[in-house]
Amino acid sequence: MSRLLKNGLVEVDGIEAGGGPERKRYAITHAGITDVEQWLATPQEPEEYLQSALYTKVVLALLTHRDAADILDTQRSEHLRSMRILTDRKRKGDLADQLICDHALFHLEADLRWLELTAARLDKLREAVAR
Amino acid sequence: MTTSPPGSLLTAQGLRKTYGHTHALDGAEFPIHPGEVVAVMGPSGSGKSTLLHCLAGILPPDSGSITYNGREVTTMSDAQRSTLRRSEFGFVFQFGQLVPELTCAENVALPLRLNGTSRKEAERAALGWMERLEVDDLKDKRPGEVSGGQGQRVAVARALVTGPRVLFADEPTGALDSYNGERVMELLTDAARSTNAAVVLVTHETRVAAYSDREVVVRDGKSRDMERAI
Repeated sequence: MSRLLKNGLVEVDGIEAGGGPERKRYAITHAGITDVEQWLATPQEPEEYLQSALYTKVVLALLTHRDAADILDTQRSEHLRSMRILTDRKRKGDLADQLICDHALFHLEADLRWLELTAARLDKLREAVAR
Repeated sequence: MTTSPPGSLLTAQGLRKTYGHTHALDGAEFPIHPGEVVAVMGPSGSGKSTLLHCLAGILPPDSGSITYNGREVTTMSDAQRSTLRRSEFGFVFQFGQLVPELTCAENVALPLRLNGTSRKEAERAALGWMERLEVDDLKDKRPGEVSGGQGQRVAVARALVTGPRVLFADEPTGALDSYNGERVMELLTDAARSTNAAVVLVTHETRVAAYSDREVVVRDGKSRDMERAI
């Protein structure tokens, strides 16, 4: 929180007195909103266990009434970009290249299958986060 | 009056197509350039096959414009569209496209024979394409005697034998295992690139889409060109 405050992404919105110690209430600034927008719009670097970051993005987009399908499309495109590079390397390479590239391709494909399934379940997810 | 993006070979703008109450296409756009491989992706029922059928002049849209090489396709007569499909376009589908009574070589030669090419010339061209697709040893076999992967390569040879400027492929590897699917994609895209043909590739498989230059995503009848979106 102190880092967010230092970078001007949140500001102190008030101090709440309670039974225990005083609690500071923070509010997101315009710069903070822009930062969140930017983060949501930037695809993740394809990597193992990307799902947790992407899951957070999808839920946050739904909670804030943004287009979650757009996030998934953008991520699919980023994955496909990596897959095109690997496919090209595979076509031009020897058998060892083909095997190594195939291994990476299947991992990226697994991510994408999760993405497609999530895209198909967006309506259900939207209902769940609205509860 | 609509205009095509510069250099594009086939362009669709504002395509709409309704089946009953279902909007299969709802303002879809699509440009493709010579020598380009474009994957059309999207969930089942999103409208991607309808888009392919409209682009190929098989299905008339309710409204919108399709321009091929500067000519408006939607205002052509059935006969003109049929001629366009036969002379300029090639097609590969998922299943059942080879004539079972003919040999594989006769199947590949068939589009040329229908265009009036002599038997000898058609056979020569067919064998040339079968060699490129590595299925020339199957020339005397009938489709029922070859494997799914081999049959699909024969179908690709047949689609390319007329030297089409656009190849339409609707889930061309949908019925094949990973290895045969990849081999078909390698041979299909190599052959198309060597002739500068454009390929419209409808697929839901991302490893198949990775053989494309870019992808267009179709959802609820609307298209999104991902190259322009990012």
